[in-house]
Formats: sequence, structure tokens, C-alpha cells
Amino acid sequence: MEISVHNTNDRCTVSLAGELTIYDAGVLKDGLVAAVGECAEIEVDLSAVTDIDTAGLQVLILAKRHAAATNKTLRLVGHSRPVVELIELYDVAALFGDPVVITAQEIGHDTNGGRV
Amino acid sequence: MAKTILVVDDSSSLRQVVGIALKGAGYDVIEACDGKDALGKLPGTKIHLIISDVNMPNMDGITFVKEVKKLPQHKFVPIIMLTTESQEAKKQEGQAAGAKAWVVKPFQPAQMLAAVSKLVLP
Amino acid sequence: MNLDAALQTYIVESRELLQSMEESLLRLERQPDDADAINATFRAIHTIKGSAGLFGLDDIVRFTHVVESLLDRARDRQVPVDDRLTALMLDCGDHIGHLVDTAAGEQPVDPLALETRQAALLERLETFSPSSVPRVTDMASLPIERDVVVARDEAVPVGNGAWHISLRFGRDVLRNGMDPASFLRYLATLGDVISTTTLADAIPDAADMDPESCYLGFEIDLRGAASKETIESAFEFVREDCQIHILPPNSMVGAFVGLIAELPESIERIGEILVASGAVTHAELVQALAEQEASGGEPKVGEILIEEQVIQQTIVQAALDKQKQVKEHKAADGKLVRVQADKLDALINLVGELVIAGAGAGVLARRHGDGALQEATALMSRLVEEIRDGALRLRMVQIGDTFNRFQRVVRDVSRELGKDIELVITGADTELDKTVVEKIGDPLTHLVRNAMDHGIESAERRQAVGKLAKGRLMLNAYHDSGSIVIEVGDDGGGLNRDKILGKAVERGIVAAGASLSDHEIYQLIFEAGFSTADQVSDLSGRGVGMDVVRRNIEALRGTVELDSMPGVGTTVRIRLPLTLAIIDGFLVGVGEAAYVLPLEMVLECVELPEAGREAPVHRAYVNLRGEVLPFVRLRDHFEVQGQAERRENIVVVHYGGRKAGLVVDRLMGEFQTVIKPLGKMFSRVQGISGSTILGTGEVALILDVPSLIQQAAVRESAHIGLFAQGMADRASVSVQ
Repeated sequence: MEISVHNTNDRCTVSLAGELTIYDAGVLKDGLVAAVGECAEIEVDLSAVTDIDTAGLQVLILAKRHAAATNKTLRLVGHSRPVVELIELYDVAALFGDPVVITAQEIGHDTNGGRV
Repeated sequence: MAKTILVVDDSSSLRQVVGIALKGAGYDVIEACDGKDALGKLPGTKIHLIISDVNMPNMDGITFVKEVKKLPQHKFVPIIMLTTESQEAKKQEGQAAGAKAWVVKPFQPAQMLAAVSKLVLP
Repeated sequence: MNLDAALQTYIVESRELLQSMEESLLRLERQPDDADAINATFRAIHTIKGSAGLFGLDDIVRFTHVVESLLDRARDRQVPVDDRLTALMLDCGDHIGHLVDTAAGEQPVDPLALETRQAALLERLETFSPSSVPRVTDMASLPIERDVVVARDEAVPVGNGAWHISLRFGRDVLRNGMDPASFLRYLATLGDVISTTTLADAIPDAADMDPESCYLGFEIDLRGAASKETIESAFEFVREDCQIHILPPNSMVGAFVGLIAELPESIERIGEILVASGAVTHAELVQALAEQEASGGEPKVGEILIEEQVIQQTIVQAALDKQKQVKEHKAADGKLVRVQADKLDALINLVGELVIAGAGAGVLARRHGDGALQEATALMSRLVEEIRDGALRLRMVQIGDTFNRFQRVVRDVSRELGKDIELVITGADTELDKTVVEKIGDPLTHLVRNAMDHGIESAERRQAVGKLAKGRLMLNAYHDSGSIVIEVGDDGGGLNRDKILGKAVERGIVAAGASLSDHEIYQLIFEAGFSTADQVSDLSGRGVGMDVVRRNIEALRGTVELDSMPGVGTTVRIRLPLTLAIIDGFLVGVGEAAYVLPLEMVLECVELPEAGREAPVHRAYVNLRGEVLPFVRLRDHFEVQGQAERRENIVVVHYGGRKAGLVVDRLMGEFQTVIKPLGKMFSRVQGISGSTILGTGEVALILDVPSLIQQAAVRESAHIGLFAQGMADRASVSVQ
């Protein structure tokens, strides 16, 4: 897993890439908790996440809660396919409350009626 | 991407049959003939599940599990141990080491597939 | 690699193990306290036994089991390692060698002599510890589990209510490699997960949270035919690390109250979840909780529960069921609107035109270069597509009714054949297009009859190989990437690979000596000409009109394939498009006109060589890598005006095991489109099955590939003499 933090004023973007699994859950937790400590508004970019397991998801839930408890805002954006899949399996979209954008191609409804 | 399973057993016919069943179900399979051989195959390889016999020459299954639990990249890989019903003591030792899934030999390929799919679907 | 090869490996391996065991035993005779030697002896027997089970060599399993038990005790020094033991073990080794020989089919050993020797050995084995070594008479009941099927088990009435599964995972499961997600995914293979609630309440504050611990709990409602045992077995590996409660469908409210009492979360929290998931109604729960409070407040939940369940439970249950049925019926009636199918078709047709009109507007907007207008049309076309998908869904029906019709078929055919066969249905609520459902019945009937007739063995034969006497036929359906997959499975003897290959060679379907994988060999039974009526009973596998089945499926733009494992069973897998109203097409151009080919019938595209372009109509064939390929020139077939372009292409199409080439001017790529039925005017044009409209507003005809292939083939055979001559003369016409 790679974690990179981008700070602008009071906002920061945390970009996560690679596998969000139990092997990196500790690093992930520390990174997100630190970001919540430093910024008022945190955006977690999940678009480059290639795999996620329950440990990874738990840390995301924790981060979301931790932010709320300290009156910060933490948003998950750019959910990659594996993230969406696990969120759907656990039906926890509501727990995060962030819109999950699924593109037409991903759900296989790309049935355009005539364009070649 | 297919999930990769490491099958560790000193019986090559068992590895073959289990391999056929697993590949047929859509898994990738890596074989090793004992614990030592298996440890050599782990570094740098993403493994989603290990199936290991208990009784093997060179390095037995229990020692192998203990070694896997020391590897930072593989310590959380689920492990299915193959045993016979007469080996309760071994089973307890293995469970203490972190191997929680046990399948009793002899088994049918379908039984193995069922056990595997509880932990990792293809 | 196949199972036969694996069996050969097993035999070689067992002989080696017996050899090394003999060496260890001889060493033991000299040094009885050699721990390595006794371990090696144990391991050899252990391995021989373990692998024998995989091949169903039950004789070996039973005998080695007894030997292994004794050796295990010897290893633990519960039995002294002395001459008597090593001598017996040497004899046992010899005997196992004979059993292995028998399994290898090499020596026709006198079975009676073998049996006598085994009985004598067992008696000697018994003298070591009569109490713990299984007695000869007990051996039949040794745990050789055969009848393991992942999902489906015995009778739980389908369709009414769901299992409620409550899980609280232990802290260590993740560290042990057990991810709750895997169990949830596995559950989804046992039935329909109709609701999942994840409880993350137990996750502590950031400071106290261990990221490798698991804090999650789940409340799950699962609908399906799985038995409690099957569902429980899903969690067999976390049994000790997870608090598991499983309530059967239509459990009493009391059971839920009991569950609530046992869970760590508050009554309100769990109550809310149960009500939301539909497991209990709000009123039921409030009443039950009130009763509990009235009876003293203390956790007497259990008592209420027991009282409620014990007192004439059947009557209460029946009443509840009835109430429920009435409720369900009412609810269902209230939710349904009956619509005439043709009204629906008209709607879908209109929506199709709307899609096309929208695409046309998009083209215009792009041409004008007006950004705002383009955005507006893009949004509109997306909405229109959603409407189209929604409209198509209206035509979707569940496959359950079709499946259920087979209950009777299975019952009748079982009697006819004198076999005991049960039908297990899963995925009954999988939806597919009504028109597909109507056409799938015949092929399914064929496959079901075939499986019962040729797949499932007679009860005697099943018992002889240690299977349950009752055969099992499985019908299953599920969605997979835009298709519906329907499976017809049996737990019979599997296909006989060698026989099929032999037959195929004999019939000239494959060349002798061709190297084919097992899978490829199994698919041969779908080949036209593989079977004729006279071989029905001759072939132990299938092959009875399977080519007809394949053609029927392909006519629905589907595919069919077959998996088989000797001794375990056969599964035929049919993959169909979810709807016939949409087609994955390949667009080609001839002159000004555009044509659509069903993508799954297209094999490849190659350039038409110069020589082929001059071929007169009656000699339209090319040499495609040594294979004779008849072709049809679409320009001639549809009498398109104008000159052919300088370069023409052949699209190689296949259907029902036949191939042909279609010569076109341009290849324009893949696209997906809505099929519109042809008007009456076109109904007599050969080679066209429908039409669609392109985004530019032009009409494209959808080609009827089967009839075009037929046409090419007829011409080919009419000129077969000429053709052979032609091939000799015109060897220059070839495609690389």
C-alpha cells in the first residue's frame, strides 16, 4: 500500500494506492488518524486501491468516526471496484454516507443504442 | 485475477488431484512437497490460501505454520491443515499456532473445494 | 493432466512409500527405539490412506486406517515397538501392496485369497488393542464421507421466509487469516442474501483500536434451500472464534427475543435491524418484548421462549404459516399489475426508437459544436438508456416456474427408469427475458432426461462405489456478466472420456491421435454427427441429440458447455443473453449499406485474396489455412449496387459446428444495439433476421447467419464434384 498526503491550507487529500489489507492496516490507521489530527477537511481518494479486506474497511470506518468525533469532515471519494464490492457485500454505504459513483461500464450497462 | 493457492503435501498424487479440482474451479495452484519446499516458494508470491499436510518429511506442517506466521508478507494467509482423525494433539498444537481450518483425510475433491470456497472464492 | 494420470502417480508413489516403509521397519527390528523410523512408517501409511480417499479406493482406506491407528499409538509409545509389531507391519505392508496392485488393475489377484489374508491380518491387528482398533465389523461405518455437496441439502420449504444469521466475530479472526468477507461471499453461494447489516458498534476509539483485530458483527437474512447444517458448516472454521446464531425461516418471535437477549448490542439497536430486514414486524417485536417485561423484567426471555415454543408448537406454527401466507398473498397481489405482453413489446419498441432518436440528436448537437446542447443531449441519452433498461426489465420473469415444472418430469422419469432421484433447485428467483424462458424448456427437458437416463447410475452401482443410493439432479441459475447461466448437474458417474474420444475418431469428428484436453473431449458430444439413435444405450455417457440442444441454445444466441469429473458427476452449463432484445453485434459495410452480425458467431476476419475475388458464384470457396471455407458475397446476395471496393474482407462465421465466410467491403467494429423486429415486407428476404437503426439514423440489417451458412453449405455440396476438382486446380486460392 502507498499512502500520500497532500495538504492545502486546512484541507488535505489522502491518496491510497495498492492493497488495503491487514498487512498494512496499522500504517493505514496511523496515516488517517494523523490526517484527521492535522486537517479540518479530509478527502480520502480510493481510486487506486487494487484490493481491500475487512481490516482495511474497518480502518476506513474508524477514520470516518474519528473525524466525526473530533468535528472534522472526512470523505471517501473515487471508490475503486474492489472497494465498492466490499461496501456492497457489507451493505455499509450508509455507514459512510459518501456517494459511491459507479460508472456505466463497471456495471456492464453500457448499452448505447447505436454508437459504434 | 485468479486466486492463488499453495498446496503442500508429500504425496504428489494428492497434490495432482487437489490441483485438478482447484484449477477446475478457477484457482491458480502452486505445489510444494514439504514445509521447507513451501517456505522457499513464498517470498515475492501473493498467496491467498495455503493447504498443508501435517505429516511431511523435512519440515512438518506444524513447524511450517509457525514459520509462515513469522513472515511479514504472509503471516495472515488462511491455512487449511490436512489431518487424520487420530491426531487430536497435533490439531491442538496447530490451532494454537494459528491454523484454524482443518480437513480430515481422506477427503473427496468436492469436500476440499467446499472447504476452500469458505475461505477464498475463486 | 487427468485423473487417470493422477491415479498412476498414486500407484507409483504408494509402491515407493511401501518400499521405504519396509526399510524403516527393518531398521526398527534392529533398533526398536528409532523414533525417525517409526515416524517414517506412520507417515507412509498416512499418505497412502490420505490419497486413496481421493480416488475412492475405499478398500485401501479401510485397511490402512486400522494400520495407521496402531502405528499412531506405537509412535506415542502406548504400544511397544517389538518384533511382533514390526513383523505384523511388514505383513500389512505386503498386503497393502496387493491392494495397490489390484487398484492398478495389473494383476488379477484372487479376491478370495486377498480377503482371507486381510481378515487374518485384521485379527492380528486387533490383538494389539482390541478396545481402540476398529473391529472388523465396524469397518463399514468408517468415516468415508462421499455425499458432500456444497450447497443444497434436504427439505426446507423454499420461498417462505429466510434464515436469520447473527454473527459476532472474535478479535483474532483476521489475524488467523479468516476474513468475515469470505464467509459472507460463501453464504451468497448457498442462497440469496436478502439483507446484510454490518454492526461496527464494537470498534473502539482510535487510540484503543487494534487495526488487526476484528470488531464486526453481522445480521444476515438468507433465503434458499440450504439446510441449517449447510449454513452452519459455512462457519466451521470460525466456530470457536465467532458467536453464531442461526434461526430458521419463520422462527417464532420468541426466538428473536432470545437472540436479542444474547447479543451484546442494545435491544433497540437489534430490534431495529430485525424489523428493517423483515425478520419480524415491529408490532410482533413490541408485543414480545412487552410480554417479557410484564413477566418480571429479569432475563426470563428463555422461559417465554420455551413456553411459547413447546405449547403445541405445531398448531401455533401452522397458524402462523397460514397467517403469513395470507399476508404474503395480499402483499403480492397489491404489488402486481398485470400487463398484456404486446403492450409491453410496443413500449420497448418505442423506447428503442427513442434511444435512436436521442443518438441522432446527439450527432446533430456535436455537429453544431454547442457545448450546452451537447451536455443536454448526453444527459438525455443517458436517461433514455436507463428507461430502456428499465423497460427491458419489465419483461424479466423468474426462472423458478420453469424449474418447478421439472419436479414432475423428474418424478415420472425416475419411476420409468426405476431410479431414486431427487431434484434440487437453486437460484429459482434468477430473472431472465420472458421470450428466453419460453424457448429454454425443450433443451432443458432434453438435458434433464439425459442426466437421469445416462448420467445417474443405478442405485446398486451407486452403492457399490459408496455413494448414496438416491441420485441427485441439480437445476441452478445465476447471473454472470450480462448473461444468465443455467446449470443442469448430476452426481452420477461422469462422462467416459476415452469412449467419447474413440467415438469421435470413429466418426471422423477429430483426427486420430489428436491431442485434446478433457474439456475439449467432453465438448465433442455437442458435435453434429456425434450421435445417432442406434448408439443411445451403447455409450455410457450422453450424446443423444446433444447437437440438437446446442443448436437450440445457439439459436437463442447462447452457448453451452459441459464439465465432468469421473465418479463425481456432470454439469451442463448454458449461458444465455439476459434478453433477446439487445444484441452484441459486429458491424460490417457493403457499399453504402451496413449490416450487423451477432458477435458470438464471428470467429475471425481475414482479407479476401485476389484469386478469391474472381471466383464465380458456384465456386465460392477459399482455402483457409488448409481448411475449405465456402463463402457468400453479401454484395451479390443482397444485390448491392456499385463496384466492390479494392480490398474486400471475409468475416468467418460459425454456427452449429459449421463455418462459412461472408465477404464484405468494410469492417466497422463491435457495437451493442436494440433489435427491432422486421416489418412484413422483409419477412421473405432470406438471410435477414431483424433490423436496427444506427446513431446516424441509417437502418442496418441484422444478418441471419444460420441461414447464410446453410446457403453456402448447400451450394458447396451441390458442386462437390466441381469443388474437389477446383481445389486441385486452384490451389493458388489460399488465405494465410
